Amino acid sequence: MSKSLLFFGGLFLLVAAFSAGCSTAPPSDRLEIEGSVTLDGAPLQTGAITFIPLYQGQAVGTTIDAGKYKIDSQEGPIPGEYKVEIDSTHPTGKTTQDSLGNGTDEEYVNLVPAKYNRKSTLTVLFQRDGGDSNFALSSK
Amino acid sequence: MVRKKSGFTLVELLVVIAIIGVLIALLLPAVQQAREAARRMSCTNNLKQLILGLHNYHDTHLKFPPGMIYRDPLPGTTATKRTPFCIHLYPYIEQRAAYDLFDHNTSWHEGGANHKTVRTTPVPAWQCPSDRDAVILDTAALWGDPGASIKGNYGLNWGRNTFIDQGEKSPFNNLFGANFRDINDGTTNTLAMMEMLKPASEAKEYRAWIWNDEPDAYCLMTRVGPNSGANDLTDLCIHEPGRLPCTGLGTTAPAKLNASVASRSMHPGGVQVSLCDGSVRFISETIQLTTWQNLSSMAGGEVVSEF
Repeated sequence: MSKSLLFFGGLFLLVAAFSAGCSTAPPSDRLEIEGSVTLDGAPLQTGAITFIPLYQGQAVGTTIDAGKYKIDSQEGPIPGEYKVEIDSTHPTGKTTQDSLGNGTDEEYVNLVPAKYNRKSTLTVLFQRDGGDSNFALSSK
Repeated sequence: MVRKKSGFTLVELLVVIAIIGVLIALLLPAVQQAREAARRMSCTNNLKQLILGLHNYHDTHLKFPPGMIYRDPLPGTTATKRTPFCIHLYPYIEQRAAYDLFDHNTSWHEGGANHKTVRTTPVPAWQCPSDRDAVILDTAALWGDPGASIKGNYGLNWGRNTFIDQGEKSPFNNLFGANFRDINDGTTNTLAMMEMLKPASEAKEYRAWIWNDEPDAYCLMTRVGPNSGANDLTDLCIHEPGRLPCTGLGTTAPAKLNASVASRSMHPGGVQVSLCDGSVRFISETIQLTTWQNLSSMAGGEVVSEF
């Protein structure tokens, strides 16, 4: 009996030794960011937000849901300055012929003006201790 | 005489089973990784075949094939013709028979049964084994008969912003394929083809549709990095979080010309790309965005740091 106990103990130690080093991810300076996006005061119901680094780092982005967005620290940005691109498309209710002439596709319109996406001048500075990452857009 | 007990006790059996269980548990992830490594090598080989095909095309025509022929007016008519990139490469990747069936005076989705045969001919060199199998079916829920086609896992380097606004010129554009002399940044510092992921067969989506000359089909942008969590801007959009995220722009111009699709793969940690010099590289998804974008321009004059 004591022999098998010894055996189980040894086995446990072996497994523990093998799985050591699997547990902790390398430290990262990525930040968790979240915030709200409004257009003319009303929350943007759907859409996408993309942060494109002006200097260092990777582009990050996510979907906007009911005026809110959140990126966790696994995928988040490193501190620095980013250009912000926000898109929110919405079906107009009209349909158009699809590109191969077989059926129809819904027509979409981008609610967010180009100054916040393709020709974006919107920037944000993410600091190590967090910053203002709420965006109040105006369609004017 | 003492009768010796033969056989194993329950505890002994349990111990043996436990040991075997632990060993298998240790082994299984390693086996899965070995399988993925093999698939990735096969994928590397595909990219190599395609870039060699591109170089052979360049040897013959003294330039790369055009990125697409997007609704090019037919001379003397008001009709337009649509030709995707992939057909130009077919003779150079052992698809001569399919190429000979293709009628270059007709759009890819017209041309009847012949074109359908060409479009649905499997091209293994365009399929990465790590991704799902998917094609475009000829069902009414999709595009019907004119749509039937294969998809592919390798797209073109189309620049850094959107389909219509490349930012800095890349080796491919509508009606344009670069000559080596246009690639001033050096062929070693310029991307040619990148990996992309296929939406499911039943998804009404253009991404990874190598036979379609739509702005989001196989034109890959470096607006965001490889395997980015940021949404692609697509014409049609079936959002797949973590795999193929997107925001739909609709299928009408000019909105759809703002399409911007990122390079994506199922390989852990990054994507594979081929460069214009014929090499194939694995690019980590943590590459600096500026480096990734500098790689996509062919004559931007940027200093490309190590990648």
